[in-house]
Amino acid sequence: MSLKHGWAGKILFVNLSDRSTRIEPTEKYIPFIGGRGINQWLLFELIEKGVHGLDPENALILGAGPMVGTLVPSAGRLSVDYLNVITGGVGSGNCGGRFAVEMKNAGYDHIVFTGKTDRPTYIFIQDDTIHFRDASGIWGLGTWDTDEQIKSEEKDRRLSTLTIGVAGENLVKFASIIGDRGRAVGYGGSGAVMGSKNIKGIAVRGKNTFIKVARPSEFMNRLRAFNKEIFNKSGAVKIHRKGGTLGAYVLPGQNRPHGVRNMNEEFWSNDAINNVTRDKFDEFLVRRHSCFGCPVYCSGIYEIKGMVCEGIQANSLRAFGSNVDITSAEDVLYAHALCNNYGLDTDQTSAAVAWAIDCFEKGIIDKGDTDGLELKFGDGNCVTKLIKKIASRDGFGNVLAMGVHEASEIVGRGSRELALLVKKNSAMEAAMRSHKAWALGIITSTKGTGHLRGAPGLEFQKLPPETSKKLFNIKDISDPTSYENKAALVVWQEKYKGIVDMMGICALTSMWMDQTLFTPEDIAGLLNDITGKQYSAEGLLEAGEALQNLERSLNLLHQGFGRSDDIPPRKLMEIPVGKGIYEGERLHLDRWNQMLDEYYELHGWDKTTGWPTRQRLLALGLDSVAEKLAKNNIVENP
Amino acid sequence: MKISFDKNRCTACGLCELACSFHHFKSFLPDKASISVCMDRKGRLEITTLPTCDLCKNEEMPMCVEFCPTGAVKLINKSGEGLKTLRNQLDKWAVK
Repeated sequence: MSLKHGWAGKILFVNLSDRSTRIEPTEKYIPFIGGRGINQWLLFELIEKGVHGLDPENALILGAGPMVGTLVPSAGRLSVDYLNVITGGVGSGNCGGRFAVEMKNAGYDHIVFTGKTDRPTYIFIQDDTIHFRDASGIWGLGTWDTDEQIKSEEKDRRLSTLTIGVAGENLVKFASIIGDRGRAVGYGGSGAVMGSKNIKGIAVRGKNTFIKVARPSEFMNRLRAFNKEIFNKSGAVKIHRKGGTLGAYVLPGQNRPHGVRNMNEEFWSNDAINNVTRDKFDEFLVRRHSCFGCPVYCSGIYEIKGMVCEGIQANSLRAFGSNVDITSAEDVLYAHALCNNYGLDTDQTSAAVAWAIDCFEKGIIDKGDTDGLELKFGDGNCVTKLIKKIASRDGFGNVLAMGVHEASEIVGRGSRELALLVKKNSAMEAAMRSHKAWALGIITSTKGTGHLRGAPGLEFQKLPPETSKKLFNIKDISDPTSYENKAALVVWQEKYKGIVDMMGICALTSMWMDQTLFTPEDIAGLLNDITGKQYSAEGLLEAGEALQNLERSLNLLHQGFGRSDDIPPRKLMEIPVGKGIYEGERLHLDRWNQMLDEYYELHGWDKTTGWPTRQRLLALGLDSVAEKLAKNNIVENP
Repeated sequence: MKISFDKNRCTACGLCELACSFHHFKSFLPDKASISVCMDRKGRLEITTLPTCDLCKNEEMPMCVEFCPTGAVKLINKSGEGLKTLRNQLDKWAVK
């Protein structure tokens, strides 16, 4: 093992079908550095075309980057990657908590699960020992009780868990893995993948592997300066310390865009917002709680209707507030808590519920479809009933559990027109009509929507031209509604987010939200002191570009996704923002196509198909990717 | 002098454990730290220190105190007076 510093050095492969394990050195995969990078590389190599997300051949891959388990602030993220159950392409999520650090201290940078156990099982990885435990006694429990039971059975309060609830057991297509009781691995059905393998939980405890630092004195000097001069002065950090994204983005009087009523509207009244500001949730707050290694404590422990839950952020407020028009903090928090305990992705759950309510209110479906339930926006009771039905696949919940793409196929009757589908996944976001780079990043996201790939949070800050020139070498991005230069901003963000995920840094404390935080130069400096290697900022950005090409190729290999899958849903082009500071804004197909041309050109991809070219893949060192595409008869200019 | 904890301020971030292991070993392994923080599902805390704690001799201040983001870990003297915390002005949202 020659990766002596930063990395733990090993990748553990677990075949669940025959319970065999093997180890490979992390070094073999080092061009992709770690975290999501190595995860996606393994996924591309391991999964052959034709495999479905719920097949035993799918892989569930956990990854931690070289900064994880050090004192670098907020660098404790776990990347989880798999073939997506809904899109059939890239499945990818990321959670905080403690798991990534324990995994590295147990000796592993990555753990790869393939196959399927023949009965409900949980896995306990205790340094070099891998235990397969019978989980029949905990099958059916929620994620919180599962975590508790595993800790109790293993007699170790400090172990960290990834668990599924009943949604994952029932293979709900947007079920999420929940890390350490309150950290969800969203998008793509990670929980269903785990459930399909009969794995109720994965626990890890590391007592033996030190994460070594190549240049300890230089590292500490650089880290102390970074903390003092940058991290603790960051405006984003200060805001997130006051209640996470919940405190940052839901403020009355701003008239800013929200995703409202199945994304039909983007204006939410100040009266509505006033009922769900952060202080309304603080009434239920027990205490603030950090992810391991993070000085931001943006999460919290809440008590709601006898349940103790964690971690509500702005996403859940959009999901169970504006998108279903609920204006009671108690109802929003309760829906969030149910999703965490059942192990459901709040974004996709909201999309399914809001779509169903919209169908009901427009007369496409009626009580005959919904098991007698009357569905209406603003009714917390109706939302929680649907969430319960989805998790248990009960009646109409069994239809919604398939995700909106399949559900709208089952229901028919023109119901697809009310959906916002991109690559079969639902878009559940604010500001897609007004903020053009934000929309481009979401719609081209390799995971099938979501703001955690190329969608640049900095577009909301209307940076002056001199700043965008300095930061990105892009001349002007100050007008969110303009299409000009936005493709370049998205391409930069994709590369940068790749770096952040390869390191294991949290997106919330990155340049995604604050231009001062973790610049590529800062990351290279810290990484080099930790690992003793010589990465440059440019080199890291190129690794990010390679990762983007790899994921785009994975989507192409498995699903043939290309240009036609990068077009916005109809509603975003036809229904403009009705009120507020972006009144009248919508997406325009002709200008979108021009922006898309520019986006493909910047990537060096084919403009007609939207596919990565062989030439581009080879230039990035992705020879084997090009070969695998060719072997599967995927060639340019079909 | 000794290390003291204000459980109301602690958010269980574990930076004290990481910093402590770095002081002892110039590398990171929270399990080998002289300090241990564990929060249960209801937010109840167990914080313990081991006799191996040497108050970070040769450092300007104990590293657990230096890296604690909320001032929950403090260095106090025999009469219980606080000597050093990283932040005197606490953000009230560090705790309820």
